[in-house]
Amino acid sequence: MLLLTYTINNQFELVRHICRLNKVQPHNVAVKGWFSFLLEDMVRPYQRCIVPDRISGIILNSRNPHLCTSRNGKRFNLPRCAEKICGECNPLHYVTKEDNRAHTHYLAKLAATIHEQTGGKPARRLGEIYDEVFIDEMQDLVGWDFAVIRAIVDEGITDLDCVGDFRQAVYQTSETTKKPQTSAEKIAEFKDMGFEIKNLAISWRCIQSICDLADRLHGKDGLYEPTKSLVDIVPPKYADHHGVFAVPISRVEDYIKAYNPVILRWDRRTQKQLCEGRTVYNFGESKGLGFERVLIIPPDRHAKFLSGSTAAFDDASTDDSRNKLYVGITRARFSVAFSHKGGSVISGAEIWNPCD
Amino acid sequence: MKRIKKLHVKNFKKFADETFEFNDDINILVGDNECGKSSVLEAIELCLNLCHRGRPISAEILGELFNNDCIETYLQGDKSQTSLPELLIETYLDGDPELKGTNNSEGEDTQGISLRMFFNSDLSPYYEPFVASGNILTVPFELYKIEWMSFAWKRLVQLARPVGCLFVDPARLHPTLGRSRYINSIINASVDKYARPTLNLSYRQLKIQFNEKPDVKKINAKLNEGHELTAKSLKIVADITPSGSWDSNLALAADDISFSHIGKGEQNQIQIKVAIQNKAKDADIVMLEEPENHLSHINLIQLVSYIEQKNTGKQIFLTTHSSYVLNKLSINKLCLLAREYVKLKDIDANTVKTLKRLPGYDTLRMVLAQKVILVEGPSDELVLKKIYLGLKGRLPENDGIDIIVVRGIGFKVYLDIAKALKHPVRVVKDNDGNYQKNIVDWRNEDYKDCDFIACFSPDDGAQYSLEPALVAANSNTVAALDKLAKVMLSTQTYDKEYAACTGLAAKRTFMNGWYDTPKKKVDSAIRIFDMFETISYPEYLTRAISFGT
Repeated sequence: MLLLTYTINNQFELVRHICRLNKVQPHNVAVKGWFSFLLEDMVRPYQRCIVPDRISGIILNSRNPHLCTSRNGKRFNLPRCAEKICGECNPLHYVTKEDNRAHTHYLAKLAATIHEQTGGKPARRLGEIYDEVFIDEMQDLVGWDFAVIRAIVDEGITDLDCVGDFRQAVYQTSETTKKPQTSAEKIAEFKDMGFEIKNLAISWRCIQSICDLADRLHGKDGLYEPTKSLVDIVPPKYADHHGVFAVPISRVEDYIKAYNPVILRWDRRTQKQLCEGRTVYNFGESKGLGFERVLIIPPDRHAKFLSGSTAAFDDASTDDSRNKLYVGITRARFSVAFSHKGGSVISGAEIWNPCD
Repeated sequence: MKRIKKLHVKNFKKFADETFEFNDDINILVGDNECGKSSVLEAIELCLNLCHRGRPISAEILGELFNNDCIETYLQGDKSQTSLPELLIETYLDGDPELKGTNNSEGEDTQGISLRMFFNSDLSPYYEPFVASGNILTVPFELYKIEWMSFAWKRLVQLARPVGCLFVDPARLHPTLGRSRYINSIINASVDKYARPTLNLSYRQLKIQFNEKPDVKKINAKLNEGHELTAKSLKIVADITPSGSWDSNLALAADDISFSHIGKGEQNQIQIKVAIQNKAKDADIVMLEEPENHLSHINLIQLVSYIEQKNTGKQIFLTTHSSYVLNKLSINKLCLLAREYVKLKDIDANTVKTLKRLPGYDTLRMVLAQKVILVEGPSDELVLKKIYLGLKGRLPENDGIDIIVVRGIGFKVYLDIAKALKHPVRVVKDNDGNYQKNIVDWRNEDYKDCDFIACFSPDDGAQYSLEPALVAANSNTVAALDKLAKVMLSTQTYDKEYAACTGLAAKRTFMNGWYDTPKKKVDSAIRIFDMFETISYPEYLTRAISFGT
């Protein structure tokens, strides 16, 4: 059995879960990160059809490694790194020239191409090793990753289960223009591959009013069922202040003094003074964690949504911003507050302005 | 179950580039001395365990592993970095799909492990002065690196090696060849995993007890009395550091005699049985080198039936010089290392069965000899040898010609082996009174297209066996026949009975009639072999013993 996930933290989390049940990780359960899986199982065994020498490892790209900017500001792709040269597959599209390391940006593409060139050998090999493959945090997969999943599905030997929440897709295995990109495209792709979609619209963490707010972020997509909170009781300690609150900017310091919430922000540059010396996370970092009380410092788009606009994310090219807010809101167990510049407020939120 | 399907070696020992295919269960490697039987086992051990006869690979060992011709080619060449020889061993496996991939020299999509030893190009700065010195007598193996990977191009580590192989090599008990470590590996293989910590713990406690014994304490008290030697306390202690683990200090003992002092045969048997049992369950493959060594025939019989009965699911490789081992373990498991590598698999099932029941026949002689003559009885053998001696002045075996008396099981078993191996063989056979039926038709029935099987027999039905043929060859004159009779018959028979016959026809009839009982035949053949006279020999025998020069 093979368990795949994207981040190192998630790999540890999976092993911890297994050990809670079984003390040790059984020898027939393998846990791998997505990139090592691609490299060790989908690429290296058959890489010679494209890259003749053994790929020595991977190089993490934050963006397309072949994209350059010329002096006059034009962007162009390095010609010697083109996918094909004279109709032949070009190894330098996938690996570094110096030490033959694979670009993570193109690793899934390499895997998918090898799969195609060898008539499905990598997936067949996988089927001989594992009876079942699970992919956790599948929302983080994008573009060519889906071609790899399709390769495994097409071989039909291995049982494949994927779990994840598209609304939490904030990391992506690579920056790419290859489809699917958006959650809607990804779900359509899964359906097209023959996956049976099962919704788990429950929350063990957030109270109902917080679930409702989070649900509204993706409400327009029409893809998700309303989330039902399974948190019935708010402990007395938090009972006096629970739900969703808009805090006027002028009162944010007071709010923090009153409730000591964990602050969630876009990145390190956000409100440095306010965050100084307080418990604070970037949205992305907070993934997988839970806090009793949360205060969100919303960037413009988030503020627009929190003021009641339903079109706040319509002109965004990716789901990134919307999903980060979703992650932020769903970290809160009992109260989520956001700083508010004034004007209208999203329904369901209460303006916090006690006259002390 | 993990299995070796195929072994490919390049520049290894005597093999420049060679491929061997194997059976899933038992592989009996036979061949002449120096044909590379042991090298095949060593290649497997290297590739699966990353060690050579139990020792880790070092630069000195590398020198022993490389093929001499490739070293010579390098030394004769331009000595450029790219001309440095590379050694490759690939085992093609079955039973572990994680080892699957196309990264092997055949580009085949299959499971396997490859071991490469080649120049480490990171070390070219060191090669430069070496090659510049101009005084190059050998390959600089110190600058080599070893790459050990699966066909999926995943690096392998020795502690988690995917396929376990156990090499039983009686020669390793030699006192100078790292004996203790070898015995450790035997001890380790003989107990199961859970017994090891128990043994280790008990051993550590024993050592602590030693230090606490009153007698030991008394001795220690006197050791540095009055602190004359040192101001510190000085003691003799049993070493209780973790490095002194049980397996390097405990030894096997049989009937209270330490393992290295018991008989060689017993040592051999114990090692092999321990390997076959493999209680540690870490071996998929067991390799035995000449299990017949140091064993009496009866002990060998017992050992072979132990191997036959107790081996469950392990793939066995063994080298042997014993026909008994070969026949008993199934002759169809034979892997012959000769000019080319041949596996004997398409052999008649009845022949296999016959030899398992009657394993005493010299099948290996038949397999290994370059020039074989099969004959029916000892008289044929003696006369053939005499003819050869007369022609060449030496016995046929001195020229690699092996005359095998087929005895009870007849020609069929031997010829079936020859047929399966396409091994050239000559047959000297009586026509028993009917050349067409017993020679021509007999040959056509089973060996029609086997042009490597040649039959020699008189075509005259009257010469139904050796003696009538000899008589016929010496019947031109009465004098010639008398001369033959004088050699072949005892003095008494010659004087009293042969001399009474008059005329060539009567003498011939007497001679032919005389040889109806086998006893007399052998006596006569021995007399022919010992004689100083010259007689004529039947033409078919002369042809049978003449190998084109």
